[in-house]
Amino acid sequence: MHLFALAPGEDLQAEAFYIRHFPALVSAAIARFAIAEDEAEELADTVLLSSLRHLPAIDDVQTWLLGALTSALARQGSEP
Amino acid sequence: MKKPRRPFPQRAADFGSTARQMAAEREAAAVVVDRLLRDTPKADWPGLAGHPDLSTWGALDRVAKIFSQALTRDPLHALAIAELAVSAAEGIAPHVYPPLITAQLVAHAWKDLGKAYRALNRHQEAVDAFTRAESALAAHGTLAHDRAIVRFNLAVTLQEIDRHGESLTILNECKQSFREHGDNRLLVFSGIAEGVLLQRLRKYREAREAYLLILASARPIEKESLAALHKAIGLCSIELGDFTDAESNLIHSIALYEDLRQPLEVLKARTGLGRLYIRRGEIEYGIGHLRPLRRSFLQRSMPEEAGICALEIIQGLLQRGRADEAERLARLVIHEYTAAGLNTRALTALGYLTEAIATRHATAGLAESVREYIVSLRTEPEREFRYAGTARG
Repeated sequence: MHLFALAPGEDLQAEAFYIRHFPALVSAAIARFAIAEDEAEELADTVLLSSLRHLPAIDDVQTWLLGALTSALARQGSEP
Repeated sequence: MKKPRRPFPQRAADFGSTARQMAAEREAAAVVVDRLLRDTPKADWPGLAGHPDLSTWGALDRVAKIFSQALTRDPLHALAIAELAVSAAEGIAPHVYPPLITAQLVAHAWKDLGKAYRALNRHQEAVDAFTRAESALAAHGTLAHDRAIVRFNLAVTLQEIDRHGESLTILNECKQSFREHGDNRLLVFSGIAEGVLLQRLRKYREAREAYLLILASARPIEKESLAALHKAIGLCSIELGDFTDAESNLIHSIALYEDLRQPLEVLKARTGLGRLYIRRGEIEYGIGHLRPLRRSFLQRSMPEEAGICALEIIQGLLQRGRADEAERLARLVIHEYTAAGLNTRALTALGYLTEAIATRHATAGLAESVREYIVSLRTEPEREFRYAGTARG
């Protein structure tokens, strides 16, 4: 898998990836952890950015993104 | 202060821009980094740390790939590469990438440095490097996967310095994180690392259970990991006296390694099969099976593996009362180890065995202890040889 290889004509591939996953992450953060929408958006944005390094090797992108989101929220919840 | 809320199109555009920057850097680095490392004498590499062509995400990604290729082939060379990567990553200005991307760069550079130290048996330095890697990630909650990768390496290193309990605890945390991120490959590796540790502690039943759990999972397992798992289950089964399972697993492992065209691993798994035959009492057959394997190791200039194989043969010879042959073979191994300049502690243990054989006090158990000891020197080169049994026994 070569996500974001950006061959000619693929300029918007990264944006498409973002558009595909961002709303689901925001919804998951709000539904599961009852956080405010602006906070959920910020977190979803950070999760997607975190995935960039790993993307070519990730087998199941959705699982990875939700895993990163859940870990971050769980950690926030455990912090004093 | 709270960051102003960015509209969705702006967020997507920013993400696209970062992704494009990284892809462009990766493409440029494929040529530039290799040339830079090739054309600069290694002694001058520390001066490259601030070079603009190296201080990019793409360049460090390329350096990490070169490091991976070097690690098993030439750990000292890998160390030099990792040191350069750490300096370059630490030197990246804060505004160039989003902070969490810089944190990933710094953390993975330190992690690779830790791996290089571990390969050179500099375990405390490795632990320190992994700790630095982890602290680089501390401020970023979404980097839990990166953190698990670093801590997996820490756990593997802790095994080498006998901090077994900590290692097991960390491996369990890592397995949880890899599961949550759908990282099956590292989930399997963590399970294997757990099994290896249990084997080291001679908890063969628990080790085999750990390996079987991985096999039983519905997750896809790479062929190479599968081969390693079957071999490990086979070796545990020998120790548990479960010879039927041992044989089927070792044969399965050999077939997989043959498919993978890994002749060295085939030889090692076949050596396990030889051990099985001897333990099962098919001593002549086992000796006949092991002799050509020993020759193959020698032909490949692998005297250590050849010696380990010889110690399996010696166990068989001692069980058959063929002490003269066992003694000749033990002396030959000493000669081969001396010529190859291998660990002098191994020579001491072999010398002890040879004298015990010469005075007709050696047992197969002593030969097995010496074999285990020599294998353990790979990870614990300073370990002393102690034989708990009696040479007369």
